[in-house]
Amino acid sequence: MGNLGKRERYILILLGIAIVVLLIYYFGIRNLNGKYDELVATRSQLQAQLDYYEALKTQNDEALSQINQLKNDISDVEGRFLPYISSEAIEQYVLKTFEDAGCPYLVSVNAEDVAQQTVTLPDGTTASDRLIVKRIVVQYSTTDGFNIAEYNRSTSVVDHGVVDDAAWNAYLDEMYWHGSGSIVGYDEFISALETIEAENPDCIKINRIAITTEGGYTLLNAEIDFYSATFNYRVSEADTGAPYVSWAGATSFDTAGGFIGRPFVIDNPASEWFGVMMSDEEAAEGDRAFSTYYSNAIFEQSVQSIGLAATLEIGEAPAPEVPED
Amino acid sequence: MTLLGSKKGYSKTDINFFEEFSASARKQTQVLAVVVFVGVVIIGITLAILFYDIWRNYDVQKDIDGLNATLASDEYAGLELRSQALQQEITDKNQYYYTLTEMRRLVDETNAASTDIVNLLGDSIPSDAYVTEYDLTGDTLTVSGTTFSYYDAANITYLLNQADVFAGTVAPAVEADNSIRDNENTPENPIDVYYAFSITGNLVSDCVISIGHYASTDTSVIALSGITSQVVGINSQYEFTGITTYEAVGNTYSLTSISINNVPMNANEFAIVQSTDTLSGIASENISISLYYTQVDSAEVAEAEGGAA
Repeated sequence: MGNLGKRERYILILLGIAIVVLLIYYFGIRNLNGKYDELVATRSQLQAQLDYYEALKTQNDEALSQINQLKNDISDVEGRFLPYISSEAIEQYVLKTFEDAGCPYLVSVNAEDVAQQTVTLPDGTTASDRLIVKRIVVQYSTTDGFNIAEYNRSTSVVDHGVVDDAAWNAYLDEMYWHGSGSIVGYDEFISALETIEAENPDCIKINRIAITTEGGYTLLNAEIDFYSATFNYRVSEADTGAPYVSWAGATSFDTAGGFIGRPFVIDNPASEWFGVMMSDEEAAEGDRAFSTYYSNAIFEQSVQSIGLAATLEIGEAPAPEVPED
Repeated sequence: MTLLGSKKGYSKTDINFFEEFSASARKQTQVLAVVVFVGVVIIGITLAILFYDIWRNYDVQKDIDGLNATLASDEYAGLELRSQALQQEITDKNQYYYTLTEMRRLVDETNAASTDIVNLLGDSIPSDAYVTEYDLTGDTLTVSGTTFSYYDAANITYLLNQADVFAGTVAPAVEADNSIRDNENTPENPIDVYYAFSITGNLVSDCVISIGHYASTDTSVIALSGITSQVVGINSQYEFTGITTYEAVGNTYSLTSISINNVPMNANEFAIVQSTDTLSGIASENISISLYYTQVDSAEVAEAEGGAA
């Protein structure tokens, strides 16, 4: 070094510096810059992904908001149908409404399913949910102003097979022409229908009202439709408070005297049918596959000739006398 | 070259030489110092750049680690699946809502038998007549009875129509009833001539106008919303505005066609609807309107909004 001239020494120093700088650049800065570009690209990619996710979060929030709005809309529509069909609750409600309105003289009532068209979705497929319509068909009768009216044993004169003569005679005393003003049933029938049609017009509709005049009285017909749906994907809480949705009738019953199969005479005192004997015509019906041919023939002949009570050798319930006037 | 020796022997030239030598050495030292300084500065700057780059990469790496941690967090990890699930839920709910509203339309379009008509009928029977039968549904009324006057079928129809009961054709019918006169057991006719009458007619009812919005995709048609129904009086005018575009699920849709009661609207009528952005008509029956849309590209929407601004 000592032999080097000043210029050479300077050049060597500069060269050394250049080499050091070059090495630092080549092995350090250049790689770091390359790495930096990669890292920035990675960061940009991740940031883009984060931005995408942020947008997705916003979109999800909007989707949630839309779902909530849809749920509200769905709940509104669901609430305009009965949550489900309970035929017994509906029938109980209808009968009670007519009875409360003063039209209790029922001829018949039955519940029918009304076929409804399925819902076709815009893509041509059939919706899994379907409309349910339960039709209650009732026929009531007015009174005629003469005959004694009765429903649900309301004017019964028989208590456990024993006829109450006083009550019998009292009712028979009422059996005269009271005038057409005493006929009840029609206005009450219409009043009951008004109550029903005002109850929930969205899901209870009267399909038909018809009357037919008979011998001094009028038969009153109505068909009342109750609308519900299957609600496979129900959103709202079902409102089950209405009497035509949930059972509103009696919940406690005396079942001690109920029976299956009718004998010739009901001899169970627990039964409201106690003392009721089968008519001779009813008793003679049937082939009696369990019996011998000759016993069946003897029984039928006996019933037809001397009557069921005598055949069974039991006393017949005394029939009340009909007052002469 | 002068040999070194006694100072006295130094000539001025020598002294100058020493001075020059010293000056040259100082200069050399200064230059060297400058060179070294510059070198140190350059190396220092280079090292500073190096450290800066290291720090910068570390900083970016830190960002990357942070982003990776963020993306791996529960908040973001299942976001796409959640999005797909939500979109599916929207589709399902939309379909369910459409089904419900379609069922609602079916119910709304079912006319009920009104006790108002029964009460009106009860107040519309002339004193020389009585009704023996009637049959009322949501759409028709049939009344039968007996009267002394062959005007009464028309009279009753008139009274009912004062309250706009019947729509279109109504058929009052009267027939003389000679059953008593011809009865052998009634030698003397105790009453005047009388007539059996009947009235049959279609009832006035409201109309349900239902409107549905649909989008055509590559593979099928989907409902954009439920069916909207509104009840209007018969022969009333209905009108819908703002129908040429529709917003749903953050997307914009453009009206492409219309069908009314499953009959496609012709091109001329459709052009009028598009230009006025209004669909109107007279409700003479229940009307089901289907509006078909296609999705508009969001860039086009932005461009259109920009152009409008």
